This record gives sequence, structure tokens and C-alpha cells, in this order.
Amino acid sequence: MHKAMTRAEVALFAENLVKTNVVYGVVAKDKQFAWDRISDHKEMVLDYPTTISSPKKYFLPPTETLIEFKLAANPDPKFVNHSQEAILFGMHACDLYATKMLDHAFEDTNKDPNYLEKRKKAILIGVSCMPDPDCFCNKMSVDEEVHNEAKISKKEALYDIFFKNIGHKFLVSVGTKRGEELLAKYAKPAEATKEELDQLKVVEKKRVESFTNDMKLDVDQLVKLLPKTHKSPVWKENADKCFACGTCNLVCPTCYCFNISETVKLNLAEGSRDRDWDSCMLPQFAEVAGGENFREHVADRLRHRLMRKGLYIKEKFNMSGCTGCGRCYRNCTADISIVKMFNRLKEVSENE
Amino acid sequence: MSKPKIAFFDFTSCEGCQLEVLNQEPQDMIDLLNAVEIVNFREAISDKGQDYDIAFIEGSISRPADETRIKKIRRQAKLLVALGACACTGGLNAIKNKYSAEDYKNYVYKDKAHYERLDSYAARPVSAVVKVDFEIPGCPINRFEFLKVVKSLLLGVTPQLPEYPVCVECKMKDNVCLYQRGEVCMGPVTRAGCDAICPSFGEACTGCRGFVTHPNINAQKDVLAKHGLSAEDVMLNFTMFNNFSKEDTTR
Ligand code: SF4
Ligand code: SF4
Ligand code: SF4
Ligand code: SF4
Repeated sequence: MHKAMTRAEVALFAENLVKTNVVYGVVAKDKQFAWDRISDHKEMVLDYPTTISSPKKYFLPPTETLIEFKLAANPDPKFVNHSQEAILFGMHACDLYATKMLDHAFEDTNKDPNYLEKRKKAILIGVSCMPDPDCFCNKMSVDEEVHNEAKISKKEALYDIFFKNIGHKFLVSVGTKRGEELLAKYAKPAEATKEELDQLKVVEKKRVESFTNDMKLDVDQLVKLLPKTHKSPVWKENADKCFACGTCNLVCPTCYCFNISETVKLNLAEGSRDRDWDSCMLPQFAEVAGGENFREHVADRLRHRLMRKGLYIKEKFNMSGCTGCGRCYRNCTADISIVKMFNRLKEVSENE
Repeated sequence: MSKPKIAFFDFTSCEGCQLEVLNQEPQDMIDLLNAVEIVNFREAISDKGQDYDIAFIEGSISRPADETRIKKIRRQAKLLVALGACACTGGLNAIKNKYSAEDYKNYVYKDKAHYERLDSYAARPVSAVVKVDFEIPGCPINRFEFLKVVKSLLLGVTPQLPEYPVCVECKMKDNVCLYQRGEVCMGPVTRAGCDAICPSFGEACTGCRGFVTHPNINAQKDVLAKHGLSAEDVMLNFTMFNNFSKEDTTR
């Protein structure tokens, strides 16, 4: 099932891809890492702890024009869709999981052509990782889904290709027909040897043992706990420290809310309908015409956000709404931790 | 529809916001001039038209004589828009409000401190003196936001300022947060709309656009202190652009 490639072979593979394809990957950004368009394969990193924002920004850009129109009797609307064939190289398991979750969201009811076309034309290449102290994907059923043997053998994996770092080499798992074709076109990998597969087991065991997070609940336990926590004092406790700045939503790989607005050009003759990332932590998110705000208090918004992550999405799409990527906590200026909040909700509910 | 006449007036300020108004892409400037008639703009034209519909006011009000002048403008203008930090919050000018007149005059003007024409009272935003229909905050203003506001006014729509803080725009640009580089930033409590320009260039937000409607001031103070700022430095962050308080007008 696994092929093996040396680091040099992977680098050559990346170089060939970048030469002839639109490739997005991870680049260093001021001691951190971010997803970006790759023009030189040497800039692309495969060993990175996490990225600031997630690769969702490729499929759902922070700001995107949907329609251009005229301010006239006949508005003559033009639908704008900048989808293209592209390769996302270097996705961690959590982000592959998140992408699957977003697929459900954008396929559900109103199919979203802008997201779905970009998605259809994108090849996802995963890469293994080592957890940092804030990662808790091990509790969020991410590996079970991403490295699901049945899906991989049916060529219906969440990735097209996945590179597993075993030190001196990468073992390569092919997850789809498309992945198989891409690999065959740009590389000639050997079959993995018995020693290499043994080494993979060692590395994977070490990875599992490297998680140091304190998350006390798994996906199923969250679904049981959260419905009992609507009136918990934990929301207010955290709201007092919270800026309602939305950072936790914006960097989250599974947050997909957006705001639609129409803008007219200064010539007052043309305009566009655009969408921007929105965030349920922001004060106006649940405000409606007339000024009524369904979630006026920060505590209400925090509760809603965590309900989405631990309950609603699971009920709706049978996937976890949280991948355990840890971005919301790492990027929160107020140091509000989703893990601590979940644990505290559990603790308070048990003492009731 | 005849073109609305617009006029610019400056009070205590550096006139940098008016420079930003002029600092447009050529096509935007052409479109702007097609849409409005500028009748009074000291930075750009020599006309001094006194017949205008929309008055843009730069600068804080910091002398009794300013009050008389701004009230006259208010009577003439159908709409009055405050332009920039000084006009919206008192801006940098209001820093002096925490010192005695003698102290700040000696500090700034040294041997000329006794000149009578340098007399001033507590600097205040335009809205402390007359009704302001709309504010375009920032030091300086964001020229795109200026165009947005003009468009809204032309279409008869109330312009909207973002209700969320600078962090939103900062994260949309995938910036490394200054706090994660061991620095501090006022972004979490400051009203967005500048496209997070300072953090995008690695500089802290100093709050020039004023606070969001519901800033979590206590949390911001805690976070600044946690990142090693002394109580005095915490206060400096809060008072750089946002020192004016209503009590200043009674002193
Ligand atoms: S990032 Fe932190 S401070 Fe900002 S809204 Fe989220 S929890 Fe609140
Ligand atoms: S809620 Fe936080 S930990 Fe969970 S997926 Fe979103 S950013 Fe990652
Ligand atoms: S750099 Fe400033 S504006 Fe940007 S996310 Fe950090 S605190 Fe917010
Ligand atoms: S980032 Fe802050 S200081 Fe800089 S322009 Fe924006 S509001 Fe002003």
C-alpha cells in the first residue's frame, strides 16, 4: 500500500509540480507558517507545526466577489468564479478532515458553486506532523477518518496523496485515482520495504505518544455533555476575558460563515456582490433589521461557537465540528482555550 | 441631479487627512470629481465657496473661537462629517488634556509659551460642540473608506463603520499577531476599517480609529500588563488617541 521516496525525490516531485501546476503550500512567515501560492518549490516547507490560518482560505477566500452588476434597469449580472486546477501540497490530517467537513456544508441545500468548483479542481496532498502542546486532534476522531483503511482501499480517501515522514524518507499513501495518476506522472516511487514499514510504525507510535494536551472529552462525550450546558456559568467566566474579536473563528479550519454585501463603484454605474469571512463572535453576527440581536452578550456567542464545534455540526453532518487543530487558542490574544472551556464545562456539570 | 457641493475645513490638525483625500488613484479622483463639486478645499484649490451641502471637518476643537466657526459651518451644511482622529476623538491633541495649560505650553512652545495666540482649552472632538452626522476615523483616514462614505452619501444610504476590531482585518490577511512576537497591540479594542495597516507592516495598532462600540477595556488592560507593560505604559496606550473624556469640556 505504501510507496517510499527519499527527501530528494520528494523535492524533485514538488519542483516538477510547481513548474507545471498552480501549487499552494506552506511558507515560513516571521517564525510562523502560512498557506500561500508557491512560485519556488524551495520556499515550500513540509515540516511545520501549524499555520496561522488554515488552507480553507484557498476554497473560501477571506473576501471574494460573487456577482458583478450594473446599476441600470437591466442589471445584467455576471457571476464571478475564479476556480482553477490547483494542488494544495502539505495539508495536515486535521485540515484534510476540516476540508471534508466544509464540503458537507457547501454541498448541503444551496450548493455553493464558488466553493465547490475550486474544491473539485483541487488535488489535496497531505503530510504527516508531530503534535504541538495545543494540538488535540487525537481526541477529535481525525486520524480514524483521514487514515481510514476502507476509504483508502476504495480510493475514496480524504486526500489524494499523503506523505508520511519517517526521517530519512517519506512513505507515500495514495488515496484516490487522481492521486495515483499525479504520482505516476511526476515521480517513480519504489514500493516501501518491510524495514521502512516497520519504521513507519515506530514513528506513528511516537506521534501518538507525543500528544500532551489535557482534553478530557472525545467527540461522543462532547455530544452528550453540551446539551446540558446552556445555563453553565462557564460561558460568562470566559466572556469576561474575551474581546469578541472573531480571531478564533477566522483562523478555524471548520468555520465557514460569511457575510454578503453589495458595493457600488464611485461612478455609480456598476457594482458587485461580495462575500467576506464573518464570525459568530462578532457583535453584529446575530443582529437583524430593527436592531434586535439574538446573541447580544459575548457569553451567548461563546456558547454558540462551542456548540457548533462540539454538537451542532456533529448532529448535522456526522463529523466533528472541531478538528483539534488548536489554532483558536494559539491565536487568541486573551488566551481563551477551547480545551480548558470544554474541560471546565464537564467539571461544572459533574458538580451540579 | 445637480452635483452635491462639498467643502473641507480644518481646525487643530496636521491636515494629513485632507492629503489622504487627495491621495487617490487617478481614476478614483476623476470619478470623485464627476460625482461632487468641491467648493472649498484649502489644500487643493483657492476657491472659498460658502455655499455647500456636505462639510468635511478635520481637526479638533481647541479654542473658543473654533466653536464660533464650527457652529457657523454647521448652520450652512446639510451634512457634517468629521474627518480623522482629531475630529472624531480629539486625537493626539487631547493628550494635553491631562496636563495643566502651563505645563504643556512650556513643554511645547518653550520661550514662546506666553504668546497669547497660543492659548487653547481642552481639545475636544467636533461632536462635543455640534451635531456630527458621520465620522470617518483614523490617523490619517483611510482614503478608501473616505470614498466609501462619499458613495453612501451620494446614494442616500447611511454609511456604516465596522463594528468589529482591527484583529478581524488582521486575521483576514493572515498576519502574525504582534503578541506572538512578544509585542503589544491595541487591535483587540480598536475599530477596524484601516485594513489592519499597522500590524500588516509589523507595527502595533495604537488605537487611532477609536474603540469599538463595546470594547473589553479590562481585558485589554490585563493583556497589556501580562505582556510586561507597567501601569503607566498601559495608560499611555489608552490615552494616545483616546484621551478625551466629557469631563475635559468642563475644566
Ligand atoms: S479569539 Fe479569543 S478574544 Fe477573540 S473572540 Fe475568540 S475567544 Fe474571544
Ligand atoms: S475550534 Fe479551534 S481547535 Fe477546533 S478546529 Fe477550530 S480552530 Fe481548531
Ligand atoms: S497584531 Fe494586533 S490587530 Fe493583529 S491580531 Fe494581533 S492584536 Fe489583533
Ligand atoms: S492599525 Fe490601529 S493605529 Fe494603525 S491605522 Fe489602524 S486603527 Fe490606526
